[in-house]
Amino acid sequence: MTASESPLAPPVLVLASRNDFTCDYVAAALARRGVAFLRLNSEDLPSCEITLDPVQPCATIRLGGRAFELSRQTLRSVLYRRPVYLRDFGDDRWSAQERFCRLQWAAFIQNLAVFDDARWYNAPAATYRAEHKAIQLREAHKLGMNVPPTAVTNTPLSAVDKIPGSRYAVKGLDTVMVREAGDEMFGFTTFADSSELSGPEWRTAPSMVQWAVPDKTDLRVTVLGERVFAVEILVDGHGVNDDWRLHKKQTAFVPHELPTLVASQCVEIVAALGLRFGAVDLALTGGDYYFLEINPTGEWAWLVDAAGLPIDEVFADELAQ
Amino acid sequence: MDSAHPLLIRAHRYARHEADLHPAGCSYDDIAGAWRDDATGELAVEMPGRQGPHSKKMDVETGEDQKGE
Repeated sequence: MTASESPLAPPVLVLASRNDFTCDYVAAALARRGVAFLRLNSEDLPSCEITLDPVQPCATIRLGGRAFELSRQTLRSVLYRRPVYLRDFGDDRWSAQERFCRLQWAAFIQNLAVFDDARWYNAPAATYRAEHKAIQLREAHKLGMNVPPTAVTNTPLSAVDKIPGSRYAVKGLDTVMVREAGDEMFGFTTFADSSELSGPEWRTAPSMVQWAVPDKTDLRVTVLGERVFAVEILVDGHGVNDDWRLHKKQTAFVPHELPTLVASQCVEIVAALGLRFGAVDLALTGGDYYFLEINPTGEWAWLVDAAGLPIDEVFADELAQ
Repeated sequence: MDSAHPLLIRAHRYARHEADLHPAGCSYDDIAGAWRDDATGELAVEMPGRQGPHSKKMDVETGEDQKGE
């Protein structure tokens, strides 16, 4: 770096990957506001020159022929769009070298948490905690939200004695996703009656068994700070009694006005979990709103086009503050 | 016990393929921090009529959090 090549000190840092098109929305919105930012994609890290002083903290980064500096004094916000840990899917896609590098770079990204004066959307440590479904339900209950009766159990048949009704929503505590012999398996929320909950195979791992909200309309509520954007998820104009993701091609997302109390509770649960952003899933039935879960890393960009919600603009405003 | 967990049995199984997720006809612009259309130079995200994102990151079901990706 020559004396004439002063590093840029952007107030906004975006930690993403190249194919994270959602970040393109934010990048464009920041550019429209004339807000400087640095987007660091995981794939590009090995081609950067990076040095982090973790104590100051201060980082110098050389990317694409340009020099950047991140410091406690200049960095105002971070949009964090990377995993908080790397799952082991059980495949051997990577060599030892590749695996080693992925782990070290992932750790580097997470260690950027030393910039703790900046506002993180969201902080990795808070994201990690907030992703635990039992914790989410407990926090929702504490805030007075309706929560479907739920059991986390490896003996679901006995557990449902305490759950009303005869139809249950069953899902994994963690994302159900594994790979085997070149195939991939992904589990959506499944629905069962008690006759399907009695086999010994249930004991091999805990599941989350929950009262299946009847005649529901699913809502996706995107919370960003104090701003709330809610949509109904409709398949052929109606709510569905299974996982709406199974019907993606027929799905419409229609803006929905939440009652003031419910909107406030959505804002509060995001804050209670130490987050600044969250995608809250609610189920509406008979005028009652039930909390299902919150996704600290939930997607939202598709709603900009599909529902006309200016979430990208609001994100840029938040990051630029 | 060799039988699979019921949630695994009910999971959707499909052949894994490494999809090319790059927006077609675009190149990544390091300075803009976004994909740019090769033909017009516009930011892909600002082009009318372009294919927008889906409900999951890159429309790949990884539980939204991309852990391990």
